[in-house]
Amino acid sequence: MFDGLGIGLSAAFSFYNLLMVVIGVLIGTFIGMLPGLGPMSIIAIMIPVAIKLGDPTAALILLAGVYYGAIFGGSTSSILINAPGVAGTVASSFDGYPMARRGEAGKALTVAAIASFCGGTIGAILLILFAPLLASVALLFQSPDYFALMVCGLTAIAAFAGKGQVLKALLMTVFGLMLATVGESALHNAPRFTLGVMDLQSGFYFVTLVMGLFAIPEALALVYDPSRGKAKSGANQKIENLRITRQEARRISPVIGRQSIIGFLIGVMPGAGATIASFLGYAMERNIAPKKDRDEFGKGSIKGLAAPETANNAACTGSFVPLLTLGIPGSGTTAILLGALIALNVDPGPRLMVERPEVFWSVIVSMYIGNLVLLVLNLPLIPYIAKLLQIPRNYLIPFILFFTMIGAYIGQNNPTELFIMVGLGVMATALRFAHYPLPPLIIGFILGGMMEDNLGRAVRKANGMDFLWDRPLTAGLLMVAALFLLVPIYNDWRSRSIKG
Amino acid sequence: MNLDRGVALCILVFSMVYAWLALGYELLPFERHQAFKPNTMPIGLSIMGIALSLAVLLVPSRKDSSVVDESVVDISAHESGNQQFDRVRPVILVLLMIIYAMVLRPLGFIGSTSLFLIVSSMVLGERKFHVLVPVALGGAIFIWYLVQEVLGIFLNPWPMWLG
Repeated sequence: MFDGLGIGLSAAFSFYNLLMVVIGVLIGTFIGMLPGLGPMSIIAIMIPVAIKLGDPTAALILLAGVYYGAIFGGSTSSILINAPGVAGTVASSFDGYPMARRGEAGKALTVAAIASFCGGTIGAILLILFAPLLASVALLFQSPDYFALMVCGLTAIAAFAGKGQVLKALLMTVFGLMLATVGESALHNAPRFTLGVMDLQSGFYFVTLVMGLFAIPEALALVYDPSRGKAKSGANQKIENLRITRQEARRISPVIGRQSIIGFLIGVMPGAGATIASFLGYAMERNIAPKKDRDEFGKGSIKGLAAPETANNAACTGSFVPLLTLGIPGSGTTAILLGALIALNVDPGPRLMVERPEVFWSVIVSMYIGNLVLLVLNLPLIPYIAKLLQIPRNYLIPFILFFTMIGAYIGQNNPTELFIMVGLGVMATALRFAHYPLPPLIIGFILGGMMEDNLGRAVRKANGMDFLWDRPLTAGLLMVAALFLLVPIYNDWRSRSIKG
Repeated sequence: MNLDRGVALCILVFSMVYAWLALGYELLPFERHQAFKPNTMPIGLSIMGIALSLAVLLVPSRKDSSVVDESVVDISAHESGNQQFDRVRPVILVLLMIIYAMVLRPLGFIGSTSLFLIVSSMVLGERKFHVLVPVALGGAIFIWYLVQEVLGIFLNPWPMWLG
């Protein structure tokens, strides 16, 4: 571990990679503040840039910086204008916005920054401790176990999709897997389902898919519902007094300590993530607070703001554990990061730590640096960055659409990608209106190729499907997957029976 | 039929077409005797797709279902509580994106991008042309410079007939 840390420190502290951290965090904060773009859309827009860097370490550091910069930026718009464009920062608006309304916007932003910094830092320390352990266990995995693990991950994500959404999430997962079969696979060189279109020989370009599924519906939603993300108050107020008292620091310290660990553990679980962590953190702190503190929740309590901010940043860090150690994305955002790694010819999985330790460790170390940059650089710049919230929509929306299109175009230099992206964007908009969750679709798409490869190898080696029960690890993981599916379906059926 | 069932019906039709294509996939002679063929997983997925879309169609939907989505907050009309929805402009913007894709190479990056930004902003109600045109043109030139000169990705700035 210490050797790895040494490699990580020397790589992360190189001038180029430090520059990538700063640029990533600033861009993430800058764009994350704009209501209407979530971290997935922002990372999707940055992926062509990251891929063109050529260096997987720098690319992943840049994208990781964009990720937690975007979470922090989302908190800023959540606090200032009650427009949480990022689902993981909705809980921050419960107390952050009331604080801004009573003239304490500066203090609220400071609490958010400190809580985020602590959550992310403690998360990075836990990542350093847990990731090598998990990676060494994962080295025991073979093709059947990988296949079962991916099934487990996909079903967990569907199970966490929300009440009454399991079937739709599963359908989206299968749809994503179907899209992944278009083009050539690693096992079979002949293209499938291309319908004679030459541009689909290599399948769908994942940047096109991601832009079409996330960025375009968000931009169109801003036009469809003009009240969405509009500034209600706070965007125009002068932000000053970025300080908290010692007493306030003492009040939020235990909250930050608890939510860092809990948020991290929730983030590790596939399908859970910053959103669930932030809501659970808020609810937990409200329930355990003394009565006089509990009454303040929802009216501008600094504990009510510190809890979700700490939890969501710790969860973001935790979500990197399955990505870096097992090559399994735990969320839509880490799925996109996984896609970027594959595009950079880095083989994610347990061998990443052994074969590319500089990538593995430098990403972990850069998370700590990124959190430091967020605190030191962003906080003083917030009053100026907040002016972005005043960009008129008539300019903002065309530029968002333009960035998505150019992002898809420059990857393949092919206008066909734009047509595919617009088609996917229209489809995704319809899916969003119909309450179909999209992260399972993108995760299914990204994992589809690897799932098929591992399944194919397992079937060929066993000359049948016996591998499903021959290996205890495979059978165990598939049973866990079945539980993930059956428990919410059973609960759903029970609650319908009680109501009916 | 409400929208989520309409979508499930579309996915059912898609799954059936997918199944038809998977079953009709022409295997090479050596592939016919393999335990895992190129169409094995597609056939499995099409069965799951058909079963799940039928399940969504037939199972009554919950009124209190909630979406936990890691991307932005759901764009459902009920949750925003605002009845003033603009249905026309999103369609126009989609058409403009398609037109942009068609004219990108013939008109060149700078011309097509500037036109797209200007016309899109006008569709959204912008009328200050003395601000709009310089911002659109400046933005297009700046992005072209960033992409081609800084990142080294080729983007032809000029129309095709200019070479």
